[in-house]
Amino acid sequence: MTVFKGYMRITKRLLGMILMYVVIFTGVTVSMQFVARGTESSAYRAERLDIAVVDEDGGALAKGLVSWLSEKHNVTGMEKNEEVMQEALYYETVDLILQIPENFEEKCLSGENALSLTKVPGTYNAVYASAQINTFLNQVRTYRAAGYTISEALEKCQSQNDSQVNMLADSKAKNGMQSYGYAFRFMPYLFLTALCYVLGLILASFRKKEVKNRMMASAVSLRRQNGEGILAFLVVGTAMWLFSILLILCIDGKSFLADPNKWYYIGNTLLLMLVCLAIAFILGLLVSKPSVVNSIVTPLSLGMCFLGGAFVQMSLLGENVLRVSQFLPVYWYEVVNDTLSNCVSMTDGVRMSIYKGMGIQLLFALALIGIAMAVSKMKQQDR
Amino acid sequence: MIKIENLVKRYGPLVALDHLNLEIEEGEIFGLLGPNGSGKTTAISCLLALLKYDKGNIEVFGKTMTPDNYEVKKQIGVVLQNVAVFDEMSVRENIDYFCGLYVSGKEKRKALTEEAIRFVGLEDYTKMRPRQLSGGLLRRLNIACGIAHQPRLIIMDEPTVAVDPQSRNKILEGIKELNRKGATIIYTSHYMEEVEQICSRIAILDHGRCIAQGTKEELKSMIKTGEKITVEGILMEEENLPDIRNLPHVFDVTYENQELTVRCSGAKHNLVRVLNYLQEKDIAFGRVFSELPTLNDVFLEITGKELRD
Ligand SMILES: Nc1ncnc2c1ncn2[C@@H]1O[C@H](COP(=O)(O)OP(=O)(O)OP(=O)(O)O)[C@@H](O)[C@H]1O
Ligand SMILES: [Mg+2]
Repeated sequence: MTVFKGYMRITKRLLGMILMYVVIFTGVTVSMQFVARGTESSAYRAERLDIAVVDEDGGALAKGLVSWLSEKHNVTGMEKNEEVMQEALYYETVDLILQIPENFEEKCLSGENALSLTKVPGTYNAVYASAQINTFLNQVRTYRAAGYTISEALEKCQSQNDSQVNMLADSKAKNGMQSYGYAFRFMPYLFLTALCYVLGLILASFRKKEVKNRMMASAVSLRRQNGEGILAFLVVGTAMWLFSILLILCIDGKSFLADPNKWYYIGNTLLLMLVCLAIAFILGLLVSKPSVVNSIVTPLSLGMCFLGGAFVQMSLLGENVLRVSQFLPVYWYEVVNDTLSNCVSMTDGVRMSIYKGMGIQLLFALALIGIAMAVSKMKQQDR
Repeated sequence: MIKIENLVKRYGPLVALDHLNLEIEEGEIFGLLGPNGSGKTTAISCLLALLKYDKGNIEVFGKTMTPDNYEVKKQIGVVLQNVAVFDEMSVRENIDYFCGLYVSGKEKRKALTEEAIRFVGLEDYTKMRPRQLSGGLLRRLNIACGIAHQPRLIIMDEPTVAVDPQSRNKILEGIKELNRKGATIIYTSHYMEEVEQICSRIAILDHGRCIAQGTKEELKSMIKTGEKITVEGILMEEENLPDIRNLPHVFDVTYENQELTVRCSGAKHNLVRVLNYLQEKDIAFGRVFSELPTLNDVFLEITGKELRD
């Protein structure tokens, strides 16, 4: 395992650099939150929203939900008509459209998130309401499970002081996004810079012509060298990934752990890590001068993160930019991320779009690894 | 122990090795001497299977050398011409790393590493990074990385470039010591003094061909020059040259930049005869040397050019 140990030894030497990126990352995350809090919060804090309800169910639970909602917001009924709904959202005559499907009660009680919420794009106000709705329904479920009838459960919930709701909704509404939401959004920056730097530099050292020749003349087979190298990559990547999760737990662990979608977040970052590893690998193969690694990593990671929507809300990027962005794995990571942080209820549609984003990232990772292997083979032959 | 037969290596139109034949016995210090670009590094690279070659056959320890012949590679120590170390590791870590490519036991490796450090005299620099070392110290580190695992065959490609004379002597002595302990050594250089000093057998390379091979005595006896007389700071007319040329045993005379060089074959009293002539003609002169032939003379006579340009 000499080669593996060599990788690790060099990684250790570069820890300072990793730390620097972690500090930058944490700084950006925290300050973004701060900025967001300053601009967005006061505007709609205790605001009543205009909510249109399309009630296809009409059952007791649906009615109870609507009447409860009316106490807190301006609720109007609406036909199930795509055009009308689109228009209302487009002209912002409503903030949010809540669709209650048929057999809502049954679906809801079986734990399925049957509600569909459509909000005006780019606003956070809806998150506030949707969190409230979620909490309300959860309470109903809890009472039902405890043996109360639907109407009793509704009554209990109506009368209950919804302090818990306020707290939860408050923090989401105040920031537009949870702190960990920001952290996850900037994650590509941390992964790309730290992994590309460290692994790029290590690989550059190992692929320096002299060292490569020297290693080839040694008693360790090429296959073994490559194997140990890949192992080292995976170890470094996994360590980075675990560390980032740990970092998030430190920044905002309590609310992250309370998020029902936390596993999706974690899975998404794992995929991102794989993609970044592959990118770092290719970078290391193509570049064999440490100084060049330095000068490539910064524009590469900043560019990818910007275009992928890690710094700027995706809705603020132009359509043309987004068209390009789709060819970046970071974009798909952010799509999943945005979906997760805006998602109020995990419907099948939401789940599908999450899986799609993750699937595309996986494809990116596989494609990049394929390219890396081809490049490495090519490089081996020209001697 | 090593047999290179009809080795041909081309870089496009350039023939870097032209039907090279070498045979190296166990226990030798074998010198590969040749000017820049003569194909020394290319020959070594082919020998180590780092380079594909166009034609020929290479056998090491009686087995054909291939890129994945790790059993053979395990017994070879390599000091390549270009320093190959990791900038991110300290001197000791580097030696330990390269030793670890051959030796797995931790304790054993530690002992070997320390011994290698002593061998090249880097005791005071073990914690430094290669970047902090001077050129000569870096070369010494390169050597230590190559020989730490105490291999049976050591291949060194110009290991002493940029090393100061004192350290160089120490290293050369060390190489002889390694040889005494049983290692066979292939030593590449364009310094003929070095090669003469340590090598038991020498091959002289030029344009990818081996132009002469043998012990230094054998090589020197191959040429006409038995004695070379150099007279510095001398002012004389061109017409005197034929006279000197006609002295007994003299076969070549050159006069350039107030320096007269006379080459004589064997025989005694050549110097006396030349000086007598100068005295007779009342020609003043400065310092006078008389030298036995060097490998440079061998090279000069065979190729018509100086080994060092
Ligand atoms: N990768 C290469 N591509 C093309 N030509 C090369 C390559 N490597 C070496 N050569 C040529 O092959 C010839 C032999 O080179 P080589 O490096 O073997 O010389 P050398 O004897 O080691 O010289 P030096 O004393 O300078 O180290 C030279 O003419 C060189 O220009
Ligand atoms: Mg060379």
